[in-house]
Amino acid sequence: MIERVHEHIIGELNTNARTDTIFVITAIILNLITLGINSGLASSGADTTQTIVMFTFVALIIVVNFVSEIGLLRGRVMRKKLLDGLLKMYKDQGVEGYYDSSLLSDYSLRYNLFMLTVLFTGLIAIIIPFIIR
Amino acid sequence: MLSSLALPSWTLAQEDRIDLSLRLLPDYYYREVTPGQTTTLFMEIRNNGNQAITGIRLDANEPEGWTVEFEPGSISYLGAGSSQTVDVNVTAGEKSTQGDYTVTILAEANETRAATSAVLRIEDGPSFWLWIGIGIVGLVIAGFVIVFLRFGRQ
Repeated sequence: MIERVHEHIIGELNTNARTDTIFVITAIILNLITLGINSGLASSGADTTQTIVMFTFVALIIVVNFVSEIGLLRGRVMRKKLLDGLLKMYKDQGVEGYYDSSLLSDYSLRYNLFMLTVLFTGLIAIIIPFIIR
Repeated sequence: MLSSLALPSWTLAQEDRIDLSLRLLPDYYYREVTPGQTTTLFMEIRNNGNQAITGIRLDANEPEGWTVEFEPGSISYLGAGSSQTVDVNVTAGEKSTQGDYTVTILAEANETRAATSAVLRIEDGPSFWLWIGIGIVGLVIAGFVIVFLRFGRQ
């Protein structure tokens, strides 16, 4: 039974990693695309239609970035819980010496860096078109 | 009669030439202005022709929200070869944002007309839209801090 639980935890960790990758890549690509579109709109003129389109894209950036950040935060919490369970399992089996518990803090740092990247590309995608305008 | 045959006189019929020119002083590519403030440009109106020009009326084609006033607003008589300076008071629109704006000045006289243009640039201080952007970014950062505190608990 313990092998099944172990496989389940590993499976959850893989799913968690895939989901986080999707969140990060989607947010960054969308931020860069929107940065290009809004910069083009901002430099081409200042009529009402362009302003509405620009603000719509800004709203999209905000929503997608919030979703990504919340997803990454929840992903970090979930990964920590899964790894805690895994460590406990290794401890019970007497093999905890093969897994360095400092990996947990490394994962946490990596998540913070991902979130910072998403946040900053999002902020740049918002502010640059307003500077151009 | 004889004298006219011996020494034919040349009557140089001077062709009537009407030439009105406008020149902004000093020459510049563009001039910086501030929204809502009046900037005075100096314009020289010169009659380069050999005939007097009368009834010169000045008008401007300015961007929306801008005002252009001339001092004097009209010139009744400008002799051949003479010139006159006119103050062009340009007030940039309060809501004008950063960018280049062209003001076209027209001088229409009874005999002819002339035009010139000036490029006026607004670039002092952050624009209205920049403040909007900074406001949005501030709200987003505040939102992320809340999200981080709310969902980041381990």
